[in-house]
Amino acid sequence: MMQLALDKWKESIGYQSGLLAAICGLAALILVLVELWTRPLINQRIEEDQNALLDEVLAGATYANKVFAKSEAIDIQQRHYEIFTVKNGQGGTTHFVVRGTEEGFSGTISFLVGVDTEGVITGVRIISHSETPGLGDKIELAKSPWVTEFNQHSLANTPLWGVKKDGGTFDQFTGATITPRAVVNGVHTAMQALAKNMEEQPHDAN
Amino acid sequence: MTQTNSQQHQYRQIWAAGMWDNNIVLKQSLALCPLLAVTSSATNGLGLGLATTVVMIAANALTSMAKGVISKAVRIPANIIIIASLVTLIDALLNAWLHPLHKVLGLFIPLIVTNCAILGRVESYASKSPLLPSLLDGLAMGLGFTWVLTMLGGIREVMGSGTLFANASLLLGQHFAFLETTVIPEYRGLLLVILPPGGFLILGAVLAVKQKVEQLLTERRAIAAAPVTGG
Repeated sequence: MMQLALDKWKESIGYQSGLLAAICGLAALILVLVELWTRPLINQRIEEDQNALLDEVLAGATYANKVFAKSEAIDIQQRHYEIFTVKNGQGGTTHFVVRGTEEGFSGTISFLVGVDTEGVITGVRIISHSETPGLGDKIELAKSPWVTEFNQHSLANTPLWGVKKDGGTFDQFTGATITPRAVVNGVHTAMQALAKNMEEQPHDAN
Repeated sequence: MTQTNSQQHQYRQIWAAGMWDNNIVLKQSLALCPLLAVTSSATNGLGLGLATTVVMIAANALTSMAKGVISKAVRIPANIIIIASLVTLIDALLNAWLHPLHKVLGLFIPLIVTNCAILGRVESYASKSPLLPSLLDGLAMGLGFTWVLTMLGGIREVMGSGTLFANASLLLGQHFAFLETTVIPEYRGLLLVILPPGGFLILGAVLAVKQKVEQLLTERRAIAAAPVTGG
């Protein structure tokens, strides 16, 4: 008798809406708590990733400032770049780091370029991309050393920024031309953005 | 038949259903969207498979425990909230504590929500069954999904890029670096197999092979059961 009444009560609108509300509330509460708990940890991990990439594009050069804390935005050729300044212990500028994006074969490729004060590239790394696995993903250092080809290049010593197929300096991959072409264009434009920024507001280089 | 024997029999049936008889991909033809998107390599297939297995076990357990409270009419929205919260939870926890693994699996974890197979198991099994069989069902279905994903990824990877288990050490740790092999050196790659249409073609071939195997098994059983005649 008791069981029957309980079953009947469970079929009522009141019980069902109450149940859904309780489940939603409980789920939201748990997620909020976990979010509060993991957010600082996740931010720390993201920062570690960025700093690891920073070390790589600066080819191991040391720095004393919080590089990603302050940026200058610059728009060139309808693209948006962020320029970060790397300083040594004495407060002098040693390198610049440019973060930019470029449309690849299947989505946006986001990259970081390290440049010394002479305008020579010290390193390029891909932050994120969604290129075809096995073909376009050779732009990642983990999969292929291709991206190190940029080292030592500058606007002054490289007249033709392009893949070899287009008469340029950089290799393409077998089976994928669009991806390396996009990265080369992106890095080239990033270098131009940096040059433009230097002209407008010269940094003290010591 | 004694109590424990029948229980063992039931568990063996759950296991067989997940692995082969009622396999999510091979029999139910569910979860094809994440399957085709991810299985361009064996490592990716394994990653999505394992992540899905964890969610499946947890979702089955929670639903089974809550089945007395959740009334029939609202069970689907309730189950969807449980699954979506679980996925979000696992995503955040992995990101905070197993960050290198999250970098490899990160792409797959939100895909798990789109996996209708999980809701399917919760709906058709866990919401009617006790806790232990539900846990086992989640494990069996998940591992059944995992081996099909890994196999499909392996076939596509060998045909498409000439490697097998490339970058397995990024997913499983350095101890598993030995899995990474180059099957065809200097291979130029076959793009079609890596892209989603290739996934459909290979899946079709795999399903055809499965049908053939089952047909042969049935025939053999029929022959074995038939009385021996003549001499």
